[in-house]
Amino acid sequence: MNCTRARSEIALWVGGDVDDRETLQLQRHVALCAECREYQSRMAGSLQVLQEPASPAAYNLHDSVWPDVQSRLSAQSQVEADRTERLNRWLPAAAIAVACLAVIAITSEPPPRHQRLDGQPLLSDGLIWQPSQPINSTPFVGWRVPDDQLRLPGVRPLSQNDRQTGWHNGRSISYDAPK
Amino acid sequence: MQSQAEISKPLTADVRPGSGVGDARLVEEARRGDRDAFGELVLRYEQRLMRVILQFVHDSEQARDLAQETFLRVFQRLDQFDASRRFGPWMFRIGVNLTLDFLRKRKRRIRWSLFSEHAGDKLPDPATPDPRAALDVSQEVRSVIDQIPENYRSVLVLRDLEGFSTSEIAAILNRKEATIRWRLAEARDRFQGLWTRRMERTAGSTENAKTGGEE
Repeated sequence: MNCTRARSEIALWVGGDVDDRETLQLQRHVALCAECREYQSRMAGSLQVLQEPASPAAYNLHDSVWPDVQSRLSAQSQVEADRTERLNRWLPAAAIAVACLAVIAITSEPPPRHQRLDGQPLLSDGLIWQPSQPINSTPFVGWRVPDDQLRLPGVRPLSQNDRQTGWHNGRSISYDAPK
Repeated sequence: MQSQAEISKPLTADVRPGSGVGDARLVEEARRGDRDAFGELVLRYEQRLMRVILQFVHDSEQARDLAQETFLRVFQRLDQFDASRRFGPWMFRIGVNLTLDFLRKRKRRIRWSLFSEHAGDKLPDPATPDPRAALDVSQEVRSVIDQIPENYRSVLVLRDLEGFSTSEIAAILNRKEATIRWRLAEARDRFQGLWTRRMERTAGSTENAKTGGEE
């Protein structure tokens, strides 16, 4: 055992914080090393001084903190009960208010920017469901693509010679694409 | 003076006469809202907790407030307590942490006040004699302990002044026992160094006073 390690262990040894094997090693070391023996002596003296005044202010059960703790716990319980009661009082009103706000939010929602004129959902952004003539007088004429360059994969653009089918007055009809 | 045997009593609180109920059962009952069970725990541990806190704050009123706060927090956190562990170290951990937090805040406040415009009021008056001269040994020891950094000081106080074992201190401070042992050795070494220097200074000043008086 070297002196550095011995000094660290001596600090524990003087307080009885080492086991029997370490005690034996330390005893052997201090028997041979005068400096460590001196260190052990100083350390034991200072520890004795340290442990002597270990009696802080007298304390007896008359000074028990329990009555104060108990009253503070009761006060806390009262505060929590009041809070719960207040919450219970306001909860129905708050729920009604939230419900009203939700109804207002739903009913005042603006219509979507693009929608099919017949009210059906929009299939794809950029394609607008729109007949070329008023819907009451002419049959459905197909898709109108706003941008001539727009192509959907797998969809062939309308040709003027194509025969088209559509719905008119609730019946399926076949007609020539408008020229 | 407190005997070493008294210091070294185990961390588990003494069971009060007439109540053979263990801590675990009382904790379980307190968790269910039984205030009397919690009161029993308070009565079991308050004396030792007060002593531990007093070792750090040296002010009985302040220690009392901190003890009350500790028990309130313990009650509020009973749900977080792991019932497979011992109640004592857990409770002391809350108390010691609360006390160390209090000391840190107080230190910050003092530091701040030194920089405030009233700092001059707080400086010692050179005309009045040094109050340290009147300190007895226990106060001298305390003043030396207070010079040791908090990490080491808390271990030193809990082991050498309050008699907790190193494994109990490890549980209280939530550190490994090896760390606690290392800090304890370091703390004792620092105390020894500071104490020796203090004694040498005192001896030197006494010698000077004698020499001055003879002249």
